[in-house]
Amino acid sequence: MWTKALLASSILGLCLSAQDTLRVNFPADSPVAVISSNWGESRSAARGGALVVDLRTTLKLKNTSRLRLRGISLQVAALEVAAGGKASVSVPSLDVYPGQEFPVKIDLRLLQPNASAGATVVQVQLDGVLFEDLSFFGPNRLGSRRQLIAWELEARRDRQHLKQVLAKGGEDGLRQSMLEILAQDTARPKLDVRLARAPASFPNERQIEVAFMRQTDFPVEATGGVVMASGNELRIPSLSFENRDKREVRSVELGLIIRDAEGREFSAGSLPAPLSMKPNGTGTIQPTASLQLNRGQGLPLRIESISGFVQQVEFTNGDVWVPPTSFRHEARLLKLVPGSVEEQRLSDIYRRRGMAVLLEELNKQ
Amino acid sequence: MNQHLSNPEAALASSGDLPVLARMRARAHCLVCADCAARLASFKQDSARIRAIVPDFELPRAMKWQELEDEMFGNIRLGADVNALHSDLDRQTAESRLSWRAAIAIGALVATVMTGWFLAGPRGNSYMQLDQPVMPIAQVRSGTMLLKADNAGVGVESRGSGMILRSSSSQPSRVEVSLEGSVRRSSVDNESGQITVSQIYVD
Repeated sequence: MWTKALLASSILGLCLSAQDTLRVNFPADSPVAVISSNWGESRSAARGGALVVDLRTTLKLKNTSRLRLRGISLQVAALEVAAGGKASVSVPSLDVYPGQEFPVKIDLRLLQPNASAGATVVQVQLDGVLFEDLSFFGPNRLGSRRQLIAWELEARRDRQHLKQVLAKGGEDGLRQSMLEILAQDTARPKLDVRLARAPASFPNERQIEVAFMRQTDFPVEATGGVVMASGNELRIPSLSFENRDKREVRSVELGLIIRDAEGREFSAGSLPAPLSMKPNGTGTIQPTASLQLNRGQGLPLRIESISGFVQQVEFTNGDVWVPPTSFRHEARLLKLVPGSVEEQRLSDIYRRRGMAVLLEELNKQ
Repeated sequence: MNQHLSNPEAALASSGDLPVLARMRARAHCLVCADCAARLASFKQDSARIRAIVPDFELPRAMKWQELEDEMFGNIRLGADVNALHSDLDRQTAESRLSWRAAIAIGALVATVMTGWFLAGPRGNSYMQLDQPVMPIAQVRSGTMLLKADNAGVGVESRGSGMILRSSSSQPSRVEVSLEGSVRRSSVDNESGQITVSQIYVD
């Protein structure tokens, strides 16, 4: 009897009181309201001297504005865990009407080294919401504004492109496009990228000039840059840009492509950087990170050459620029760089639910 | 003979992966059933399409099931739920292909692994090691902090504590590294169909 009671109380103790552990704070004037939280399978368990906390919740949110909501970004922080690390959960490509409710899932696992210290408090805060007219609300601590606008612009661009494919090639043309996207997702070469703070120099480093993919109609042009490479490591001392636009630039994002000694190409990620440039002015960025690149199973990759392309520009007036669809095709980036999140969403609809649902989805907006 | 081929059976028959008896039954059935024959041809056509689109699409033979899975991902004509399909395939494989030789081999392997595990002892606490060990796709290290992305999600570890954002998502997911110190993973949620982007940053 006593054993059973003890066991029951232990289980109850391990089951997490999620309300105490997870706090959801939205600003009082937020255009998105928290309707409810489903605490479902949240629980904690002691493992050795550590405490493992699993938090699975579905926030039910409501668009209380007068505009259709296109995306939302939430900041997730656990102050006592991995101090200095921040996390966010964003849901772009939404189409939530005024007054409509929508879910956002958060599935989080925390590991605390000291089980006796009690469960960590996880805070979920609104970082930003984007509306159909590209207006934004939120503290934007994580730069969600630029990212949500860029995702929305890419979504519009890709939907437009797919509609053109449908108009020109019919369902067969659209099916072909979807199969290409799915095949590229599978076949895209994957690279293990490790980032660290750049040392002053690598032993036996050599200088490689960065080749830039240029387009005359882009608002910002990368004009020069060198990387210092040694084996599978590289650091980027500086990159120069020129603003061709009439608007003042706030930040740029550069995509990087690495070619190895065997002639294979890989995407090495992107380099977003704040960069203030007056209209027709120039600017330089000096990244502080170094990269270590490995292929599958930790095999080091010997860096032979590196090329870059401008993939996003943010202006001080709030505008964001993304490259047109044609650029990814012309620059043969399709096989190397993942497409937009909207492209990923639409191809998933096609894969799981078929052509009819995809057509319905394309005609929605 | 009169029983129609299920979608998993048709998928396996199209890639020549059915066991001999089942393959013979499928062939015989397709001779008398135009529907099933057309479905099988459709599977073959789709897999040929993928190969035509990505001519250098080759996986090691050791990853045969991955290859089959990839073909199914591209095979939209099925219109079937891929997860259900996978579980069917796994069950079929287990039921129809486990010979006594394989059973002995698996038993020996399990014994070796168990012995190795006991000799090596449990490892230190790491939130990534609590589940199946997985190869990281991307890592960002800043001081004592390590950001990681793998098939389970994106996470951060520092001084014995850690946090991981997981996703119950469809595959494939996409992982991107930002050189300013963040790792991002985008995937489509199985239940809601929403695209969710989980991102971890170094402060």
